[in-house]
Amino acid sequence: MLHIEHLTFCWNKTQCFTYNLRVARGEILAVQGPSGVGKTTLLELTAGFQTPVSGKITWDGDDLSSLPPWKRPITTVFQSDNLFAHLSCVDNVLIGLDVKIARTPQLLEQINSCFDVLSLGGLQTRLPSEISGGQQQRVALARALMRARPILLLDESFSALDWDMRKECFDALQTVIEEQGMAALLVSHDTRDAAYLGCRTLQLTSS
Amino acid sequence: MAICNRQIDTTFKVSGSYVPIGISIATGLILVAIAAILALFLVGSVVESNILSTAWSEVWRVATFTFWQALLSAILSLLVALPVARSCWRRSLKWHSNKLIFLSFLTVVMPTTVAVSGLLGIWGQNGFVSVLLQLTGGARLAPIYGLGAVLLAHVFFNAPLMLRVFMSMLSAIPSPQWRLAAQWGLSDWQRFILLEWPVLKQAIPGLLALVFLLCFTSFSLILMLGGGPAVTTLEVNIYTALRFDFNLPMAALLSLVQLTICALVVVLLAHLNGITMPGIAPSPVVRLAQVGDDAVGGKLFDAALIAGFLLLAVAPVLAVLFRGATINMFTVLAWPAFHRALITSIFIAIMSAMLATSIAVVMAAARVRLGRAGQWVFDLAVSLYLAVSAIVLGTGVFILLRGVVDIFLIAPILVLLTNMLIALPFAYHVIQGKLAMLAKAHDKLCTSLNLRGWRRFRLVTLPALAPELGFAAGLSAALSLGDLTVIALFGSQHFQTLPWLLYQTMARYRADDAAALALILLLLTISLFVTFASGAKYLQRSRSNAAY
Amino acid sequence: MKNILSLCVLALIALPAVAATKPILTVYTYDSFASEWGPGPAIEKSFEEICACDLQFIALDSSIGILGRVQLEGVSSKADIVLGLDTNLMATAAKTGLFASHGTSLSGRTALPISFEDNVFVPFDWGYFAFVYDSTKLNNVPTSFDALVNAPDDLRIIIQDPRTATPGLGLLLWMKSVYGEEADQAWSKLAPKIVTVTKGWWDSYSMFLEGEADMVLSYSTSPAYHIVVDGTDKYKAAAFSEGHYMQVEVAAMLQSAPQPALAREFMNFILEDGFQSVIPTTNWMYPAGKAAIPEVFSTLIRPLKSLNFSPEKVAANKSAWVAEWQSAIAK
Repeated sequence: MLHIEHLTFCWNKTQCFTYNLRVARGEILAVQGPSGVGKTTLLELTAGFQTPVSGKITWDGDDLSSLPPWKRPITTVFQSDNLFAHLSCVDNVLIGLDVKIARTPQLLEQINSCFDVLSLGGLQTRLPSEISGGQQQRVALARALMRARPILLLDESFSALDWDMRKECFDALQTVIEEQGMAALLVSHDTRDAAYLGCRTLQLTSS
Repeated sequence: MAICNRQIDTTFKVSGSYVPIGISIATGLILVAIAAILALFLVGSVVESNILSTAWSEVWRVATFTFWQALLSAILSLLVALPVARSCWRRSLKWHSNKLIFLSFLTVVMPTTVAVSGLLGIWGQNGFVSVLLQLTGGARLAPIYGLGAVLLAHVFFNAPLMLRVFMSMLSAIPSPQWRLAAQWGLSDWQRFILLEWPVLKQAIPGLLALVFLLCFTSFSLILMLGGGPAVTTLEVNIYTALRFDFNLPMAALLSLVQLTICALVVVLLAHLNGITMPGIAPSPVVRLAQVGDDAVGGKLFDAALIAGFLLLAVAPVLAVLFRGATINMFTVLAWPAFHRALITSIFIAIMSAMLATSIAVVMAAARVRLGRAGQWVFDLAVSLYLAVSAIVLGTGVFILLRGVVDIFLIAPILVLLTNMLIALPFAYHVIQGKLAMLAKAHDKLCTSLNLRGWRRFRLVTLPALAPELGFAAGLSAALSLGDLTVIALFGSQHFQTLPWLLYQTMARYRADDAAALALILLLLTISLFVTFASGAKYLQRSRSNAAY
Repeated sequence: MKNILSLCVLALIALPAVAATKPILTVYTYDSFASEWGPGPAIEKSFEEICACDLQFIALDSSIGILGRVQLEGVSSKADIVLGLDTNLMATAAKTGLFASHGTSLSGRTALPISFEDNVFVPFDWGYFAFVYDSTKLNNVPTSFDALVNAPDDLRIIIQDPRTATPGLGLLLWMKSVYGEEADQAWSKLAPKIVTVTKGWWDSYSMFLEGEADMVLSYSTSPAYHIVVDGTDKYKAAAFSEGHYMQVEVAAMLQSAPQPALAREFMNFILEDGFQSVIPTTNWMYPAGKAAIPEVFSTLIRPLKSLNFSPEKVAANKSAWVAEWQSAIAK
């Protein structure tokens, strides 16, 4: 359970945001609202890229606030540029994994089946420039799956895609979430997303 | 809650041990430069050096002359490079004109003495043009020596540098913008105003500063083409005071004057538009066809501009080629002295290239993580070495070391050190822009994936930086190979580099051998440059899956 | 293991023998002297035959550079002897206090047009400065310095900077000894003919050979090189009726010489035949000592007057005269 309590952040001591939310394992919470209302800020705080003025972020009771971004049990999928241009798709997945994990043939098999699940079969050795935008985002999802971190943050990850592509990605997303028992925060400005996913929404308003 | 205007900086900051290392290096650089100049005051008494009784009006005259000559050279280079860059870019699709600029770049890295003798081979009284004129019934060309020749040479030896930068900036304009321009049928002038100028003007202050510094500290060129004491620079006076009057305190003082003027100019230009010098490395983006490309008038204009520039900038290289491609090449290649000098030169070139590039990378990486003030200090620490002459540096460090290290050992160390320091500003500027861009692009992603420190550099940054690294290393090696400053102070037949051997060959009535040696040196410079540039491609190649 | 041990023992025994090599005599000189085509190799051979030592020439870039180098190195210098200064630098060199008395007798051993007595410096060769031209290309050759100064402005000459090259300084002194107080006017008249002023002697000479000028400031002995090595006698020196300024090259030993006894031996050797006989056809100058002068030198011009200022006078007035030159030329 991801628990965010009275998490407050101020941009310049006049513009402050406060967040309160809970997300359970296997659940997607869609964060919606107009631009400028603080959606991305929420994700940045959760991931550790910004420090809050006050409040707590806990996962299953453990306080995450004092941890640097790479130590938090989180994977972030950004809106774009999730992949390194000079690495193939499979290398992009591998590079996100812990160094201590042995790169065995079994591991590569796991990645291959992961690619299949996400309809990326056969694209392992392609470079990001050789695949479509939707496929790139799904490779990022594959990486998230392989990293197996319990919290998944999606910052407008599918907003640049057309609706059909987006539906495919959402299907893949739900597969990933269910399989892994992840808690996901999906930031989006499009209200259709939550409707399609049939998940809870959090409306952020400026006040 | 009290309202405070200062923005709270709570953003997560990427950092690493390279930051304090970079800061130490920057500090060290500043200290070494100042120590070297001050060391000159240690030798020879201040009284005897006539500093106080010197005609300061004369020094003032030389300083202002140097300043205006450098400023004029820089502006003229700009006026030449800009239109040529646009023409080259316009035609890069069909005529592949962007590849031609590589040739013009050669004069930037060639030893100045070789380049100038090449220039005389074209424009001298018995040069190519003169002979052509006489054959067609005209008179022999008048001697070209004087301010005009100096400005001309400055422009054609520095404009290629500007050209390169402008080309890479033009090719960095995103293709959607070009597509829009094509769709809307924008005319050439409109494209310039709307698309190209906003991008190009960012590079101009930095380029002006760089070329100004290079022309301000110009030395061999002034001596060879100036024609007499009326055309002189502070650097010439420093050199004379140091080597011939042995008036070290005077040389140190003049050095400080030079440093101050250069620093003021750099600071002024930085204020105009934050000096981040854009990368000078090649960029692969191809130009889209635009409206008006096929107009005959346009084609003629571009052809004239490109051909004219190439002729003027590349001709000296051709002159070196023609003069040197003789049987004497085989004679020279067989000299034992040549073999020794070759090994020494290559060794020093490679070592100084690797040192300069590594230091440049560390400093550039650290610079990204610093605030405005810190960045400014870094840029200054590096640019310092464009304003302090190698000879002052070498002499100063020699004085500091002479009691401590064996005299004959100091020479190779000094040559290596000064070559590295002279190459550093170039390597730094080539790498710094790209590295800053990469850092910004990758920071969040890498931090979230626990890609930090050396691992991040090795797996993510290095492959992306490879073209710039290759170029920086190649440029540093080429500059080192052509250097004839400190070696003149400390060379001997036991410790020789190729330029030193060339100089000695020239001083022994052996003109043909010297011409052959100059050509060999040129070919070697090109090979070394190309080796480093392609070697970098090797860094870019993805390795097998399991490596990550 | 046993083999390695015995090898080590052998090496240790051999070491003292290796260490007891000949003492090294280090001579700083300018590079054309020490090159394969210069006098260096032959002189090295003859001296090593009599000294039981290893003579090493260290070639530096120029005559003036030699003095600068030893001043820079100070007492930690490894040089025993400095060879290749000229009389114009002598007073400045003496003032540095770096040089020691050579302890050799010069009387009766020199063959210079002027008298030379000094207990620190030993002369080893000499020559005249002269303007060299291509006799197949130049028709109205000036026969006096005055004729040169007053020649039509389309006569192109190249000279060297007096601050950086000894011939350049030589020309300055030559001008002074001919014109005295009127030197600046003479310079103004000469200036339009000067194509360029170069840093070193070779820069101007090579430009002259390339056709950039009709006459170049060089030595009266330069034509001999072309006769012997290139096989052509088209290059000649112009003889001026007022006389030519002389250059005498000297050597001295350092106070801090690591091998003082050997150094004194070499200083004495300089005026011996083993050294002097090599000079004419390798250094292209007249020998300072009593040695045979080769046949080809008889074709060279022999000035009627040898002009020369004392080293002290040169040292005292150099900066003023150079400044005068600068302002006269710069107009």
